[in-house]
Parts: sequence; C-alpha cells; structure tokens
Amino acid sequence: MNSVLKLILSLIIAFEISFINNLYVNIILIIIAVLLLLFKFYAFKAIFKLFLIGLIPAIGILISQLLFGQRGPLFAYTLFTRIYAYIFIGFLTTKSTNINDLIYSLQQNFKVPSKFCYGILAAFNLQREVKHEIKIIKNNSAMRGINISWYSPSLYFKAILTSLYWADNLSQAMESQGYKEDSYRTYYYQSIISNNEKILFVLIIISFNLLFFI
Amino acid sequence: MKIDINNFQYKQDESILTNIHQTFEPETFNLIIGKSGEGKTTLLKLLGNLYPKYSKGIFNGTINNAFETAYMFQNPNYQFVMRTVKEEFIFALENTMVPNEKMDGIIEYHLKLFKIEKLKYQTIFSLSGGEKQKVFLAILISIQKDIIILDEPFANIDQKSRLQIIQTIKFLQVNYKKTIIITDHDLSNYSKIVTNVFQMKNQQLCKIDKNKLNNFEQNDDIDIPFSPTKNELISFNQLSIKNGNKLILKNTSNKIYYGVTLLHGENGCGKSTLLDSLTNLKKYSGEILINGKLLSKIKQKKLLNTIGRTFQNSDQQFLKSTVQEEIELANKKANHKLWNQQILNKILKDLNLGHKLNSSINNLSGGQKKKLQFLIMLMCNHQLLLLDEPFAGLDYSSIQQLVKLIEKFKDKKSFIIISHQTTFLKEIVDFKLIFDQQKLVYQKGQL
Repeated sequence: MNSVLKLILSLIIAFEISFINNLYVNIILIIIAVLLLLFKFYAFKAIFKLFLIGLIPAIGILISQLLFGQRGPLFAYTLFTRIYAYIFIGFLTTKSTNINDLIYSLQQNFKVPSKFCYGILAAFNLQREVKHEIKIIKNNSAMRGINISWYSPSLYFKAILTSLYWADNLSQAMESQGYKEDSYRTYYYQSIISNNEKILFVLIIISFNLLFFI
Repeated sequence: MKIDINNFQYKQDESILTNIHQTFEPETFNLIIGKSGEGKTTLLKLLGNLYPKYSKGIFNGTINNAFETAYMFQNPNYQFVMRTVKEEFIFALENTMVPNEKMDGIIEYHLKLFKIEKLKYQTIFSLSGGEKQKVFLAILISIQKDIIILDEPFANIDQKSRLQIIQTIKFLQVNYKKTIIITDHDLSNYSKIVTNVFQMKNQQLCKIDKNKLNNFEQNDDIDIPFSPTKNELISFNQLSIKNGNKLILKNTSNKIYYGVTLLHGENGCGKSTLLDSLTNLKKYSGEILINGKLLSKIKQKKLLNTIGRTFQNSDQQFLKSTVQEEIELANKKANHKLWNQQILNKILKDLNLGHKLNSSINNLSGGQKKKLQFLIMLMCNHQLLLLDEPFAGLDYSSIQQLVKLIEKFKDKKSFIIISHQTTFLKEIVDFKLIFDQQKLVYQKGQL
C-alpha cells in the first residue's frame, strides 16, 4: 500500500483505540500486526525486544489501574493491551515503509512543500552522521583531557551545535545544486496511488470500525 | 558577470570586502588566489547568490549576473542532502527539471567522466573526503549551469586525480561554453589552463599576470628512502579493516617507527579509516600493538593520552566557542617546559591568528580553522600525533609555518601525516608508507 495512506491508516487506528475502550479490538490488532511482522518481515528478535521495551509502561499502567483504578480489571487490561497495540502497529508501519517513498508520495500526491520534505529526508539521512559525530566528540574530548560520559551536558551541547550548523548549511547545499523553492521539478521516482490502494484503504477503515460492534 | 561591491561586513566596523569592481567574462577560466582569511569564500558566496541571503552580513553593492550558477563548498561534508550518490544526482537533476527518462544516461556519463562509477550506489557517509569532492564536482557539472563556482575543490583530492579533473573542467569550459570561477591554494597545473588570475589581498580583488603561475609547476610526489634506524612505535599483525562493505586492508603486517611518517594512497583507499582504528573509532581484525602493548588491552583514556589526532573536518576538533578558550583548554594539557606564553604568542603571530583570539570559532575562515586545529593538538602532550590532511585549504606560507612547527617538535613526538599536498614535506618526513592493494608497504624499490 502507498506509504502515506499506510501512515494515515495507522494514525486513524491509533486515534480510535485511544478513545474507544475495547480489549478485543486491541488484541486483534496486536495479533494481526505480530503475524504480519513474523511472516512478512521475519522480525522475531525485534518483536521480542519491543515486547520487553513495552513491558515496564504496560505493567505499570496495569498495576496502577488494578490497585487504584475505579473502572475495574477489564479497563486495566484494555490499557495494558493498548500500549502493545500502539507499539506493534507503529513498528509494522515503520518496518514496511521506505522513507524515500513516503517523502516522494507526500510531495507528489499530497502537495506537501518540497523544502519541508527534503528537510525531513536530510534529517533521516544525517542519523548515521550524528551517531558518528557523538563518537568523535567523546574521542576528541578524551584526547583534550576532558572526561565526557553519555550523561554529560557538554556532549549534547556540542552535538546540538553541530546539528544546527548542518541545518544552516542544508538550505545553501540545496540551493547550490539548483534547488528553488516553489519551482516546478521533475520526478525520477513517480509516485502514483492506484485505485486498488484507495479501495483497500477504505475497506480496512470500514472493517476496522466494524470490529467495535462485534 | 559584473560585480560592484562597495562593502561587505559580517559585523559593524569590520569590513571583509571593500571596493571590488571586476568583470568575469563569459566562457573564461578564472582562478582566485590569496592567503587564508582574506575573504575568498565570502566573495564566492556572494557571486553564487548564497550571500547575503544566508549570512547575517551587510552588503552594499550590486552583482549583475544574467546566468545561473552552481556552487561547490570548501567543506565537502556540508554539501550533501541525500543518502546515496545516485540519489544526490537525482535530486540535482530534478531541481533543474531534467526529464526523468534522461537522468540515468546523464548520471552514467558524469560518473564515467570523473572515473567514479564504483561509487554510484555508495552512501555519502561511507565516502572519503576526496571522494565526496569528486562526486560533488560530477553533480555540479551534470546540472549544466552556465557559471560554475568552485571553492577549493581539490583540497582533499590526490595529485593524479587533481590534474585529470582540472583538465576535465577546462574541457567543459571550452566545449560546453562554461564560465569557471575557482579558488585554490595549490597553484600547480594551472598556468596553461587559466584565462585570468585574480588575487585577494587587503579586502580587494586585483587581476594579476598569469605568468606568475609558471613558478609553481612542480611535481609534488616526494621520494623517501626506507631506512628504519629508529625504534618501532606501532606494529600491525594480520590487520584487516572494512569500511562499509569495502575491505581496505587485508591481513597486512608492518611497523610504524618513531619519527614522521607520511601515509600515502589514492582517494578512498582508507587512510583516514586506519587512523580511526588507531583511536578506536573503527573496528578491525588482527592485532595493533602500540609501544608493544595490544591496542585492545589499553584503556581508552590512556590510549588517547598517548595518541592525539586532527580530524579532516576541522569543525569536529573544537570543543569551545572562541579561539582564546580553545587555546586555554589546550594549554592545560601542554608540557609547560616547551610551551610558555612567549613561545605561544610568537607561534600565534606566525600563524596570523594573534588578532583572532576573541573571535568565535564559527567566524574563522576554513584556513584559520585548520591552523588553530593544528596548534591546539600540537600543544597537547601526546607521544604520537595523527594529522589528517592538515594542509588542505592552506596557502603556501601557512603550510611552511606548520611544517616548521612539525620540524621543531619532531624530537618530542612522532607524527603520522595524511596529505596530498606534499610540496614542503620532503625535509621533515622520515618514512613514506603506502596503501597498495589492501596492504601497507614502505615506498616501493626502497627496501
């Protein structure tokens, strides 16, 4: 399915389960997301990791509701499963989405300004650089006689300064390659939303909402 | 392009450019020379329509340019937007409205023109400094602008590639009717190619006689006989290092001795990656021994007390906001028998940094940053200093000053230098270690 439609779909699902308390819908969502992740992306390790990551907030909310909540155990279980529904639906969306496809579709199908799109893309592309930069800052500080650990404010201060400097240069870098805001541009990758994708999107929304009545 | 700059300043009462009135004729090759910090980058950014839009400067004047410009930054690390080389090409071609069915052909042609076909699908992150410069040059040429502005485009490029690229740019200027405006500190190979030479001096731009460039026609490759009279400092046993999917060293064994070692090899062969491994920034297999001890067994703090390093991108070196603060920090780690205030003041004056003490690091020119970076790392009391392209983007007199400093301190510490600019190094280099087919070997024929 088109990346933007998929993102909108996951946001609608997250929005609806935030306001409608239904344990069974949460469980069905978790099962569907986990099955897709297992059989389509073989993400066994990631599922296990995400299960562990979600465990602390999920158990925290479960216990507090069971001990102090006024709305009974069903509500506590609903909140517990809601956390995992968010996690697995969110992970399924990111795992099945290519950032470039998302950006191209936002630009071409949803007319989002190209400057905004390339800004997001550049931020994604800089992720590895930022990680490397943090390693260099630690290494460089040690060479200069400053002990710096992961919680030192100076580490993040320097990293933020570097990011600001990058951001400052990004607009110039784009313009130096002939980029003009609001100007017409051609597209190497054509992003087209097919009728089948639109029908699938509507069908999923309808069937998801029908679940609440079962 | 006609330029009339009455005044340009970043701060009130501090002019960078004054009374510049020049014309760059169409279809000419123009070289701009001048010392570090004279305002060459500021001038080029004004010509490229990036300033005053992206500076906080005050501009008084006009630039009459009926043509479109493409601009290459001095620092290749800040030039890219996309993740891979191919994506970056596509971004630039889309900007210039090239029909999508023509893009693949244009990309292939320009990759071939710059002999970088292998880099097509590589991520920008995995490229070396020199490879980034080659890729960006290829992209700029591909978008077919009339005026191409290049700010020290060869600072990190090896001499062989540099000559080929200069000739390619000349070919484009003549056959595709481009106007080239370029700044460079290395003046070799230009005398038969340039149409005009300009010099930036005292905030002004003057046309000078291009025959002056004839004095700089020299071969930079230096020949260092291998004579290991000194003790070994580093040993490599069956060392292998990978950069991404590329194997840069494969089961190589050799030694590095006390003294000054020049590390040589073509762009992208892995010179900086080897320095990364020596400071635990890059994983490796095999053994590295420093002073006879396994690197993997030395604590990181102790290791970085022994080995210092200048990074190719000088912005990565600075931890403070002003020049003064950087020097004070370096002074804490300096050997005070060697570094007193008098010596420091003299060196700052020689490097033309004395008047910049209160300046913010961000306001320094590329060359001034390189010199400050070198000075602060030289002050720190390391046994071995790794210098990654310390002379890139520096004028000849600044390079001579840095070489003199290396000579002065070479009895106190060892140096491993990566540099494509080797004009003044012959007198100080003891060993020349070369990357050759995934091995580290001392200069061929000298054993």
